[in-house]
Amino acid sequence: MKFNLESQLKQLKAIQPNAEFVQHSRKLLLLEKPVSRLRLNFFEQLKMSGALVLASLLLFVLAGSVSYLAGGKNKLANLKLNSAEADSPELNIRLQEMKYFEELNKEIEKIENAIENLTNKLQK
Amino acid sequence: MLEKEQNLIEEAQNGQEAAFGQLYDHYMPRIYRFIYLKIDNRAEAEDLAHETFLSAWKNIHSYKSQGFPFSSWLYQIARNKVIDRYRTHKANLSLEEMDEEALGVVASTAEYSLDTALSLEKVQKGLKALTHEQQDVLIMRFVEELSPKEIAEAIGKNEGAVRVIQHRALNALKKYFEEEHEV
Repeated sequence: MKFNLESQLKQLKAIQPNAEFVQHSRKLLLLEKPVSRLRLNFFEQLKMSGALVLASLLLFVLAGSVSYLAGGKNKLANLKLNSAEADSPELNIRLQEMKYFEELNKEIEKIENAIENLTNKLQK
Repeated sequence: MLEKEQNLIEEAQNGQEAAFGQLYDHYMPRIYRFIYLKIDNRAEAEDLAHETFLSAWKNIHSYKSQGFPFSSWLYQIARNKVIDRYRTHKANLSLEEMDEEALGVVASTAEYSLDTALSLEKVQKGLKALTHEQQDVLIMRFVEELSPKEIAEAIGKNEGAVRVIQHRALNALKKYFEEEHEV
């Protein structure tokens, strides 16, 4: 049955266009000119530049998003780092030293003032 | 495939009308037949076949051979023309009118006997019982003898899908004829 069907379908090749129509259509057709390659290239270039602009825009948005997200992470990392630094014993020692020297300076200042007062009294 | 087809295409792309004329002479009967079998109206089939070649000629620069013959590109254009025609213009011919016309064209153009003409008419009627896609595949495969690869390119599907459509179409056609025979 399949073979018969196929051979029956092949018989449809008998359908042919009208010779007069073919001649007329051919003449009309070849009076037309194809779209020029330049115009086609222009449209192709336009399409290409459009695609490039879109791609750049997407890249820009993508880069912006990445940098924003990465920046956020860095900020967080900085905060974490700062708190870690604040907790470090080295920093505590330095702070204590600073406090010690500040107090020492005050004491020296007091002693200097006292010496100055005593010298003034002796001169009088 | 036409001999030296690639050369003819290149010449046509360089604006040589004679080269496109040769392509036209070779492919016009096939494209006309394909359209005619789809719409069953001689005048409209002629118009659409002309439009198909007009589009092909005007846009000949956009054709790029990618391992597929020029015919696949033409069938693709013709197919789109038929789809557009179905979208914009619902068939307004009655089935009887269409059948009469179909029989007339086959009998007059091919000098076939009445029996053969009747048999062709039957096949045409059978094709009408199929989906548009099934019709496309059967016409391209068995009437125009295109390879599944060429058909796949023309209808925008892969080869596997074309084989499946072909198998289903043949089964549907077989069923149609069996039912017709019973009646």
